[in-house]
Amino acid sequence: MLWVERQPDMRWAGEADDEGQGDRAAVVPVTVGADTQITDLSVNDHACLTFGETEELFDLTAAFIRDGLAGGLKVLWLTDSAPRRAATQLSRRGIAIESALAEGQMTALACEDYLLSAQAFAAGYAMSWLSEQVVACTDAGFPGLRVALDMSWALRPIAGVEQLPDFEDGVAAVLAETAASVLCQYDRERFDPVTLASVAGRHNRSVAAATYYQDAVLRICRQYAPPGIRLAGEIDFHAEEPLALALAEALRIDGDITINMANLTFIDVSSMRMIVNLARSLPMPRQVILQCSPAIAAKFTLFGADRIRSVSLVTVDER
Amino acid sequence: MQPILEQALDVDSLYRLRASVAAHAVQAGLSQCRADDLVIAAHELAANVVRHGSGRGRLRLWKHEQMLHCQVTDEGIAETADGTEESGRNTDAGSVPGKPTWRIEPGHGLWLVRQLADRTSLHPGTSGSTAKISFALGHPGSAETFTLAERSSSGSMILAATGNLDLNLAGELTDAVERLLAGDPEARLVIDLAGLTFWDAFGLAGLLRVQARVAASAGASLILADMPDQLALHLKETGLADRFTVAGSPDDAAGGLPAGGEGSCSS
Repeated sequence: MLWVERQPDMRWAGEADDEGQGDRAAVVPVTVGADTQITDLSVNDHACLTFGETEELFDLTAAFIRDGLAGGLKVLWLTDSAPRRAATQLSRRGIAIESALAEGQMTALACEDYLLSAQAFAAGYAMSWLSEQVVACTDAGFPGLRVALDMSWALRPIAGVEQLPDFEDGVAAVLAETAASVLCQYDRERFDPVTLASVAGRHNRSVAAATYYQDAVLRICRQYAPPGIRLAGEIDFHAEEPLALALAEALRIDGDITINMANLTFIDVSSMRMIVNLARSLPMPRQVILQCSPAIAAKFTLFGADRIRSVSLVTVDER
Repeated sequence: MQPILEQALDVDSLYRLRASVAAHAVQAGLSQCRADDLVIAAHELAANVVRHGSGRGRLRLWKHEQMLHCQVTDEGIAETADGTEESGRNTDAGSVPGKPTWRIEPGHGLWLVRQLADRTSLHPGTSGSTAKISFALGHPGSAETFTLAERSSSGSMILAATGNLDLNLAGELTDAVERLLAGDPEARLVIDLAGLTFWDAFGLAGLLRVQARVAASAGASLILADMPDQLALHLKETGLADRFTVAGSPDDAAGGLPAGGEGSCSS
């Protein structure tokens, strides 16, 4: 049998974490000690999302927005990239963003225009903006509000950035007694550990992608939208155990499983075999979608993966 | 022969080994795609040594007569041949002392090595096991040229492929077949391979994809004509030959093709 039993000392996001919040800010050991899965957030949550790569940010944000839209909530996304580009990223992840934007259920905005006033940050201004949004959402008849805030603006030299902790404290007060939740997004590679530790403690939830393995050449983590796993770097038989664990977890997803290998540059036969075995073990009509570069796709074709009914091989261009 | 790369290998050095092989292969004149093929082939041989052999070996890379040769040696076997096994070496690898490596078992990766290399020779032996894989080096200038010409003959469409069957040509081939089947779902197709100079993993994968595409279209058929001997031998050795219908000249193939041809029945 392919799957390894889960190691008792392994822990992943979604499980209780006894360690202090401050430890979460430190860059990433093998499994991330975030206490909540992005898919488990609920009303009133003020969650701190930390991410390591843009792919991960868009993936987790997509899941947050997808679940919000599915629940009939109003969704606001204040993004650091151009709202248009951000919307494209969501479409690529299978979210019907265009109709949600057109119907007004979803709004994508640039942070500068709303959180900041004249290129300066004032906690009071930002909080009153947020309060207005909560009221406007209720007035529009939505049962609740989800807000995703990309905090990357705070990395730029902006006046008033020292009020960031006050803002994070204030958000909790705004959310009390409402049907709103806020997801603050921090780049853990770019924010300094002290700032991260300070702001993380001001949230009631901590969220990150479940990471099964990470070292200098390979990263294996969960993907949330579309659900599956993501492999980046070079993978060979050394990573047999974490790959087996990641695949076993992916098997518990309902429906199709996406294995995102767009940023994978090398895969050996033993890893290909494990992935193909997963596909073989899937009951009808579920599929494993292999997203990979032309070079990796050719190896899977030689392996015979394209002849397996439950495999769908999708070639993605390197960006 | 003076090696251009000679490196010891064990379970902890495979990442470094891949990086060295990739760099030296490109330096020696292999295309990027073929260098990728060599890297995975060399990795699988090395992985065979560390997982199924003694655990330690050596890789050499050298150029000879327009070929790039890569030899992987399982060093442990040489030492254990006379029964004087060094303790501690074999415990992790799980090999049997004195038993030759390169046992070609399903899933060991050696079948992929055979598919990718132009030539493969495996020498299991009690006096040291070696595997040698060879990759043809392109002639300068010829590497990038390829063409795909279309003509019809006796109710069949003949696609003549010349040059490198690589990512570009494989992509053109897939597109052309897609287009022809869109026009006529029962198209009778012949791919004339006489002008092929090289192929790589993309090319082989492209042929397999095209075959699968044709097989999925009821009534359509595909014949590979005038296949270069080396490619025919290669497909035979790697067990891929029975996935295709082959013929001599393209016009024979076009004329002799039964209606709703048998080439479509492989699935």
